[in-house]
Amino acid sequence: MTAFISIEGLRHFYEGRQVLDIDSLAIGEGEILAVVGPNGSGKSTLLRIINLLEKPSSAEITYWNGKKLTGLDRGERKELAGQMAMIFQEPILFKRSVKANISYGLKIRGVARHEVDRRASQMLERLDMSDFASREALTLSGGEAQKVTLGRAMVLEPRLLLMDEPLASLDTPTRKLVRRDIARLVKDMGVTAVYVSHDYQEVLEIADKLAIIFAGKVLQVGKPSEVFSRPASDVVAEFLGAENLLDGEVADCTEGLARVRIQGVELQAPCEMPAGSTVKVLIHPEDILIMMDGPEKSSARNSLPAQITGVSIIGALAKIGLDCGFPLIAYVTLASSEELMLEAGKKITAVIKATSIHVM
Amino acid sequence: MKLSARNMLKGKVKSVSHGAVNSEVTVELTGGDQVVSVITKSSAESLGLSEGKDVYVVIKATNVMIGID
Repeated sequence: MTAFISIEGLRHFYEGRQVLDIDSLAIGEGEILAVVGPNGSGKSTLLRIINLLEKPSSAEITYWNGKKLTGLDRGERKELAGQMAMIFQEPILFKRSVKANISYGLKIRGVARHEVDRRASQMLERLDMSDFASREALTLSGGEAQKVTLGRAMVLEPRLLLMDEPLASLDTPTRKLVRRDIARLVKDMGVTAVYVSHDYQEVLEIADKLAIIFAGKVLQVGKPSEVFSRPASDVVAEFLGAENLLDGEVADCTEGLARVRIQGVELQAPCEMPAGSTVKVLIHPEDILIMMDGPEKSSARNSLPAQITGVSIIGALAKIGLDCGFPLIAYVTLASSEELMLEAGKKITAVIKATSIHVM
Repeated sequence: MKLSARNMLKGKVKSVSHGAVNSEVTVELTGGDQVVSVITKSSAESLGLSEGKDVYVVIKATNVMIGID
């Protein structure tokens, strides 16, 4: 795939201190690239450089129209900037109606009035906010306001959407809803997007590609499940902290409890997604219990026959590699591991509470 | 039950309160202390949990937090 944007040799300094050092990073057309790293790792600076708001110390960026950053004249710069939209952590809205806020960018671009009206109404409909059209924007909740900010950016039909921690100021349940709206709208409209966050859990559901950035350097780029299953370094693994991230499919779902199939094995977990949905399943190794006999009567919904593939000691814990039809890592105390004489080849039952399984 | 969990505490169900998906089960331990567990509603039903039933509370050591006054 030809890159939609390709970044080569990006070096950037603030007062003599290097803040970005990226050899190469490419974004494919229609892709959502999540750039994740701790605060101060250079994520927002990267967005501002892509968006032409900041000039890098040195870099070559090739945009979708074949134009290169180093050769842009004023007109080309303006044209490219007009094809990019950016949303920030805090929704910034004008003291006008919701519809006027959505229409703003179209108006200043000189779009005909009836067309402005049509596109703004259509955007409100897509956001499921038609009833909010005449509402004063400053009275909206945080989540609604961020949706309007998204609509105001997307109504311009940008080629590239840049998002800088767009959910950071929202509470957890609202985050989930707005995140879904973002993913749906961006995918439906086929817009390429870069999504910056310090929280990897936030982007798992929506990112096609994940780039882990640390101290200005991109440490790994890949599909989220690949980055999780095969972290490129201990720094990445530690940052992600997730050892069991699996690809699955919802077999069925009744009253909020689903059967999720992972490589032919079924797990029960809380989930609101319909049958057939492709999902990611996150299980923390600390939440897996090891039972020596067959399934006993317990409240845990998942008892999986498994074989131990390896045992390694990490401080007071034993890390137990399991094959349950798919690979799984469990942590138990060293004392338990010794008492149960856990070793490679032994057959056990892995017990997991449904409520400990996170389906995304 | 031969389990890797370090903590298996004996008690009696004090109350069960069902939500849409999950149930909250309060267990009174032998010493009188109470432990609250959130399990799926279907588990609470299939184990037939109701007031007075003898149960074990199973807690992994890695999931226990310790506080001091």
